Amino acid sequence: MHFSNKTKNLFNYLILTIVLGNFSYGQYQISGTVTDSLQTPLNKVNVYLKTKKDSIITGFTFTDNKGNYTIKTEVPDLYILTFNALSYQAKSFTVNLKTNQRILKKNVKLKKEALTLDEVVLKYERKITIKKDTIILKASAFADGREEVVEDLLQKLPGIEVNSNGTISVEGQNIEKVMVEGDDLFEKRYQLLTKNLNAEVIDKIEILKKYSNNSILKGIEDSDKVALNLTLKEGRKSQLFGNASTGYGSDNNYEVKVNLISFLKKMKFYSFANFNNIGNDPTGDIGTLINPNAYGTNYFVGDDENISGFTNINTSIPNLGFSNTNFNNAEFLSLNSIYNPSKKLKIKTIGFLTFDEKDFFRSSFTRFTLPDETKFTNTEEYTLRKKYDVGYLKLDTKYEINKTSNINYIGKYNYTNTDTFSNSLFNKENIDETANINGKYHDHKLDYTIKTNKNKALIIQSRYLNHNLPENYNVNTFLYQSLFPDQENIASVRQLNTNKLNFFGVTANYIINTKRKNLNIKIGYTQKKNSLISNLVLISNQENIISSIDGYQNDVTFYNKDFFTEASYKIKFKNLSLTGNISTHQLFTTFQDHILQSKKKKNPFYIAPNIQLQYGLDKKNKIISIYSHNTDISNFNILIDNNILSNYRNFYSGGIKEFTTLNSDFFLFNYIYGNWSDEFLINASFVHNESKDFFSSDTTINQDFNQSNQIILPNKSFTNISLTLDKYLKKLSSNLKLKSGYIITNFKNIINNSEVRNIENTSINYGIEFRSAFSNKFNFHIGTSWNTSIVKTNFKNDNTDNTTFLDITYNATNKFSFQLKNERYHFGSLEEGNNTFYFSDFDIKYIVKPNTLSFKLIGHNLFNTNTFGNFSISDTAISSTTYNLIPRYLFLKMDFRF
Amino acid sequence: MKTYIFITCILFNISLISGQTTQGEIGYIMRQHLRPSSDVIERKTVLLFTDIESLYTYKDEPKQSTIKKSEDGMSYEIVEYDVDTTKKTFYKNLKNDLLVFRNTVYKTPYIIEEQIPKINWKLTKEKKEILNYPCQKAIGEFRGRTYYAWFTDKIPVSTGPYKFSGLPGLILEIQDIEKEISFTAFSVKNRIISKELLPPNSGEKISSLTYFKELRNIGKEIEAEAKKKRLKIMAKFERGDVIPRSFVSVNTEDWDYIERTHELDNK
Repeated sequence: MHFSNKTKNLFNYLILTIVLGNFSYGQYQISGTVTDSLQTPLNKVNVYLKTKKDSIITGFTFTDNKGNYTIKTEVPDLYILTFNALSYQAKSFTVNLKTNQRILKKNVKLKKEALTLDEVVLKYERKITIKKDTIILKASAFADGREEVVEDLLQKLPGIEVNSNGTISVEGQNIEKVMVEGDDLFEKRYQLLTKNLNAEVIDKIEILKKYSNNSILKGIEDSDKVALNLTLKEGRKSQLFGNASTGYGSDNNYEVKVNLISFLKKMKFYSFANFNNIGNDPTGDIGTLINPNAYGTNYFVGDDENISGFTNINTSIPNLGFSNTNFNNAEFLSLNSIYNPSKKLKIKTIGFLTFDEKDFFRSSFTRFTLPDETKFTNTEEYTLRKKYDVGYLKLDTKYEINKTSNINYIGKYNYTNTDTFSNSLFNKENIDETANINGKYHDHKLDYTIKTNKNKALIIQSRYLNHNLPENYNVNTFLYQSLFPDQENIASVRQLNTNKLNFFGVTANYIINTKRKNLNIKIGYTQKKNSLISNLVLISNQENIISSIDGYQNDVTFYNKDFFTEASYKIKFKNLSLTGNISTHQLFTTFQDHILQSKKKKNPFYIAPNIQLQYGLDKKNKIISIYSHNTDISNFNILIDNNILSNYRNFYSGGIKEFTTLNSDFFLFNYIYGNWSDEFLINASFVHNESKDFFSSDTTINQDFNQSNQIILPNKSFTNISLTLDKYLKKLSSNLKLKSGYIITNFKNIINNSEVRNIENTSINYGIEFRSAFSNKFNFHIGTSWNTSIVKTNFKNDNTDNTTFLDITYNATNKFSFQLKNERYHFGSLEEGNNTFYFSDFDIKYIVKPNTLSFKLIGHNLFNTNTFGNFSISDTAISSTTYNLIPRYLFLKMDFRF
Repeated sequence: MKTYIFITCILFNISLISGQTTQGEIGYIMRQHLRPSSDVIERKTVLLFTDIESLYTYKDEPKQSTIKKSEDGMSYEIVEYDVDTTKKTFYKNLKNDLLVFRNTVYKTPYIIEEQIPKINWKLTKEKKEILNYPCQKAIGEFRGRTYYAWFTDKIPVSTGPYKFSGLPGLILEIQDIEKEISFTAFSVKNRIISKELLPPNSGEKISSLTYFKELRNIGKEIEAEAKKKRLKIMAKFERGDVIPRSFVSVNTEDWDYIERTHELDNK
């Protein structure tokens, strides 16, 4: 076709206008056709613009089946326009969109070329590595970047569960500890770590099954414990973090808690402070650091050796917890660290100081009925203040000699100073008591472990313990005229006791562990020296001092040497595990009375067997049965002859003339049907304990005071039958729980020179609970239980109490939750109008940022129940008591993490 | 002019017959860690591709182990997965925009044909290297999930694992932002494909929407069951005992919950 120049120009101009008019201001367009070398249009060719300066693709398109493409962009820049397809050689052109041209046309021809890919094969790193008893999980595989603290990360790991308290369990079993790079600062209080350490510094999480505290004993000690170990990313091994909580309430009550944790290359520190008067006991928090084995199963020779003194001022309140009853003013500061100077040596120190002041008040009315038909009543109004002053230091050193042996030293030092001041209105008599107990102990443990081959180990343990407990008790009223008829004008009485204990023990323990059998043989020697100097001092109005009274002073030393052997054998069959244990003890005891200048020697020998059976029939049925023959040995207190005043109304004397061992038999049978996820769960148990002879008391009860002397009587038995049933009601989405128990104890004692009396104490309890499991925001838990106590001796007394509770929780949103707890206590035998007590507490929690900042408003004791009554019966008396409780308050708390 | 056209046609036919095109094989690890369960499932999968077709399958590899919770939720055990029984296969044809895939649900195999899903990818400026290939990140939404995809223009084929495609390069890594689903490449190899890549054809043919609805119903059942199980356990606890957050194990091995919504579903 032939056009004139003029028409051509007009035509082009028109097209340009039309094309231009289709674009808004600012858009650049490149279009064209892509063909191969034979002019065939190419489909699905990648066309894209990359910025020339940073090589980032900012726009892309594909050619259609006609080979046409159009690519647009808003930004004027220097680009590289690339045409790329798998079987063709790519072509790129520099395109400068900074010029005025807004439409560009680019046609491209591509040449065929097979592209050879650069081959790369990565070794697939498993996110979960499973070795024999260890599972290693790589944090990055399970994290989604939204975790704040370690606890958030742990929840996302398969096999690990974290409950709302922060308790971590693996395989349904609570873990022992969470270590960081092999170090454990917190023992069972690992929440301080998991709730505060940043999740992003964690590289790997190791689940250690069959965990042993002593790494050499792994595989030898028959352990089913589980622990976690966290490894930190390189470059993140230095950390400083912690949290704090402050709160203030309407009754001038306050609480300030700070936890500060610091990880450095070779040292880790943890410090903890708690100042509060809201009833929280900070030593409870740190209890497991002080004595981890008290909660565990690794017994060390001498673990249960201590002095139980004689001054006994009781301030316990039954049924209720600390938040209701603990009028305190506590200050607590603790500093702990782990230092690894070398790979083989680990030094751990724990220290704390605490000061606390506790107040207590009770008012009671007790009616006595004695075997000779004497009856009388006592009334008492008792106010008390106790001041505590405790210091504690522990040093734990572990040295790894080589791969198969290590040596460990733990030294503890503790002083506890208690000052008690009380005032009592006793039957119209005004009585003031003061007591000062100033205990000090130091305790040294040394153990050496050597692994002789893959499944055999030898452990040698030794311990030296020294405990001093001086007690100084004063009472400003003399109610004991009948005991000292010759004394006149006595104004006050003082009881001074010096208690000392020295203990030394050494044991050698050889363990052989195979897959099915575990044999443990132990031989050992312990020696104990208990000494007591006690003196009752009477002070007259003229300040004359009468002491060293016959029958009221003690100066004794008791030596107890024990050579013992113990063998324990455990066999595991498919579903059955059987453990047999037998120990022999040859004792050499000497009781030295320094006042009478006498020495009594006794060298008894006894054998104590026990056998345990655990049978898991199948996943749903489990039986545990235990039989053991136990030997009860006289503890030191029972051997002292003469009276000691324990509080203003009680004298204690031992009175067992000779060191004695008493035997008893224990039997337990427990059947469990079902498990947590079943509809129906049964837990039934039967326990029976039978003693041929047992330690009882011969007590003289007077209106003003009691004297208790210890004796041995025959035949004591104890039986406990309990049954718990759980049934999940699908239609109501709730669980119904029925609990019942029956306990019967038969024993004997002597009161006021009576004949030996038979006493039967029975306790029957039964209750029902209903707990909802609604998937919406609201849930409740309601229950009620009755407890009937019956005492049968020459008379019969019974009493039934009822406890009912209702808990309501409402989780409005993820951030906002509300909880209300209500309780009702009813004492059947208290007088009408004063026998029912209601308690109600609420808390509203608002989480600003999970595990970082949250607020809590607590309303305590909304019914303002200031006093709490209690009714109790025993074989000699019935008493009704009222205690003072912490009144109503409102408390606002803020928790934050840094 | 006419001779020129004739020669072009002949040459064009010759180039078709000699068909030596680039073919590749990419190995991906597919990981699924769904909310209701604490099970983590990892499988090795492979993508075979040419410039037009691609075939993505679960590799026939026995004895992969993973950790699973036991029935009663009380323990976890190492379980070895046998050969993939679902026989999931995804065939894409970029030329005619066709996606054919097969999945076995509760032992019934299904074949679903649909258009290759169009994802509205937004390019970001982020770059990183995967398997020595420079990659750039794009964000797109597909059937109820938002994904981060890393693609490389050094392998200029617009495909990827599963049903993903539409970027100017091969997707080497793609992950949803909730971190429940991820596909990560671990190997790139050249491959000579001796026969053509074929779409799967053994199974009952159903529509994409029907298939989606069926999976969603199964998913709802599983979620409801897990929740019920968890609540049932919580209700047995003593007063004051605090409740663990995840206590239940749900079998999510056969359950495909990658697609949570469907464009044709008017729910």
